[in-house]
Amino acid sequence: MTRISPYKYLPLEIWRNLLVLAVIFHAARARLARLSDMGTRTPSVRSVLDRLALAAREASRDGAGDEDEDEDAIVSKAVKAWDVDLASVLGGKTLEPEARQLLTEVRHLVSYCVAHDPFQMLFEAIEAKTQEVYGEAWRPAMLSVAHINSHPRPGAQAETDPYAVTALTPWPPNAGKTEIELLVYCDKFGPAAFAAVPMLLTHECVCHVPARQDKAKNDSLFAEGFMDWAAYHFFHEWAGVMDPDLAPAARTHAKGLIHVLTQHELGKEAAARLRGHEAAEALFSWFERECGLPYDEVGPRVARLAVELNQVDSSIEMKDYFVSMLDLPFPPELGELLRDWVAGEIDARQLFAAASSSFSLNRQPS
Amino acid sequence: MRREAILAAAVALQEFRLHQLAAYCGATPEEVEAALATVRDLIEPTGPDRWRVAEPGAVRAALRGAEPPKSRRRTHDPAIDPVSRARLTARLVLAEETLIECGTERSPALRQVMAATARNNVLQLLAQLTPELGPWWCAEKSGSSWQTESFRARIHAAGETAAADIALPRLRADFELASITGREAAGEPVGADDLVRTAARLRDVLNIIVDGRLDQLFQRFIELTMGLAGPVWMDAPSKPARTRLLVALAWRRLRIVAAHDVRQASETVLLILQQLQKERNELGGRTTIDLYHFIEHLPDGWNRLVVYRDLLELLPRQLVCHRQKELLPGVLVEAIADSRASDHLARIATRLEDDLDRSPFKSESALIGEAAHVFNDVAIHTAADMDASVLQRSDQMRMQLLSLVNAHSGK
Repeated sequence: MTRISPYKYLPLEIWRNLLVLAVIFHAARARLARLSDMGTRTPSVRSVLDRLALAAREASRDGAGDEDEDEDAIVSKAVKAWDVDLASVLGGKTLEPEARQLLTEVRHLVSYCVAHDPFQMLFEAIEAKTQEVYGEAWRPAMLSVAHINSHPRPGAQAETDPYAVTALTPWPPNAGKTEIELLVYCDKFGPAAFAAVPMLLTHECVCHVPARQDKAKNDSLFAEGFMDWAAYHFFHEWAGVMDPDLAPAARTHAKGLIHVLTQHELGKEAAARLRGHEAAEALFSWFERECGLPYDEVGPRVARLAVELNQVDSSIEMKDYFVSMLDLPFPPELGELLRDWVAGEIDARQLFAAASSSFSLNRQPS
Repeated sequence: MRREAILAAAVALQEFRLHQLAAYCGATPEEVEAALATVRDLIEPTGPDRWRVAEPGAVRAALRGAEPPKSRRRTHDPAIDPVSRARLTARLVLAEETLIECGTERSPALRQVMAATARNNVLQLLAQLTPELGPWWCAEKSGSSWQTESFRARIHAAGETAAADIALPRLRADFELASITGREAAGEPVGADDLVRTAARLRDVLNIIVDGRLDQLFQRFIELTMGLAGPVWMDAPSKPARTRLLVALAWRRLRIVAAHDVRQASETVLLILQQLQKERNELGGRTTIDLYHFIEHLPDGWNRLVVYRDLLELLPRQLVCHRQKELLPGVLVEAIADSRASDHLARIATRLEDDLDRSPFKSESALIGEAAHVFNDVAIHTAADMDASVLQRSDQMRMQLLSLVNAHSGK
């Protein structure tokens, strides 16, 4: 393992702290959903997680001045310290049976942990899948992990918003490699935050890395809403294939994350996400009802349209306008165009161009 | 992975690579190959590792015969309750935030698109409140791109059924602002009536709802109106310099009020627009506002007059003038003055008008700077002849005018 931080924005000590937590959560991923759930409502499990945070901090701090100490040693030290804590808790007679069973299983899983970089591993799997979706339109991407000094949503409560992690893709993307930044608030990085990482990375890969538009817009109906629906579609398809052990927790917390992101004070970003998802759902229903497409075909079809529209060179405002029209019942002209697209008579570019020009935008008052 | 899901995804993609299809439906390439093998006659190769569903209808028909999915469930959108209040609120937020963002978008074409997006959101929200009046896009089916008749009918209908917490005046104001924004961006004319009506709507909303986003929306309305009421409304090239000076001062002072007190500014903007509209109507469409205008003689040697408000600061104390009411807020007042004060004000106004007309610099800022210069000159002479305190008052006024020079008008 490397003895300097592999991420340029992440100091070695913080990286080691984060690595310990991520490696342990990854090792315990088959029980992560349970660990996260009980960690919020069972004091004994919460206490165990607090001790893990302490063990990770101490192990990374002990090794801070010693660049010769490698990551294996740091992780191993933290795991041993936490194992002592776990043994102590499990030795108590008052521990709830449910907690005892969970912690016993977690202890067993963590005893086999390996000090690899779980973030990179998750990213590579997701990038490979997204590349398959986009084909030649894919832009090579790289992951960068950085530390943030506070929760991404200030004032967030751990019970309702444990997702102390966010991600972004700086715009415009680098011509050589598009960088995805995973931003982690290390002090509050718990099992739920780790389980949300795959969805965050999927969002960045599906929505932003291959996007062809003039600028980034955090409150875009298209980029953050409609495309996000597609990202969720793909994520639910991929989770079980990429890592069946992590899938239950990853799906649970993808769901938790979208709930937080669409309800958070309903500012414009949340409203755009909500409305964009709603537009995709409207399209889903329209394909089913108006085109009579079978259910299994509709999800991939909506996702395909999103992916193809994402590759259209256009202003993000025009893409937002397109999404704003997706409200049932659709305008008849839009319905006709969508039918033509389903029949394969026009492609997504032609659909978009016609939809963007045939409605009231260019209509002059009589 | 069920065969049916793989084949359905294949039909959705129509043409695909093996790994691409696998990624779309969460299958392994081996599962995809096995599924495709079951419909070999219905798909065809189109290149290396590329396939096409030649008979989508036949594949669908084959799938219809398969057993319906049992364990598969819809997992796409767990968080969104389609009938929730958040759905309505999201549209309102999007409409208003988009209109506010138009203030920083320099491209008219993009502003037009953004206005149309905002309008769609308002129409959709309203359509959810009045489903009996048809789909949301019915409101724009009668010709004009910014048709408002059917919108009004919907608002009226919604007023009878909407829950109390749906602020219909707010929707109305949002729609009006979207309409003005779109027309300005498209280079279409925006009538004085439209601006006055929108100002009234915004004032009404600001009086009943306290919301920072509405404040921003109102600021945006002011910027938009300043842009529109200048070149379009005031016949800029042919308009006398004095009129342009007064209107520029009115808008710039309004903007300062708006930064501190949006509610007061919402009353003021309406008065400004109404007064400008009145002046324009009285003069057959050509707006001319004088710095000094005698109205009538009153008993005991008093005169009723209309005067540029700042000139009153140049009156010596021994001359008497009482302000009666503001006509153009912050700029023009009706007053009652004795005959000496009337004469004095008329002389200064003539001097200022002459200087403004002679000045080669015709921008709004140059006109304000010219006025500040004349104030200084007049004050020096008045102080020497009649009242030294004029100097101090003039200095304050001059500083205030110069501070307005840098307050650029926006679009």
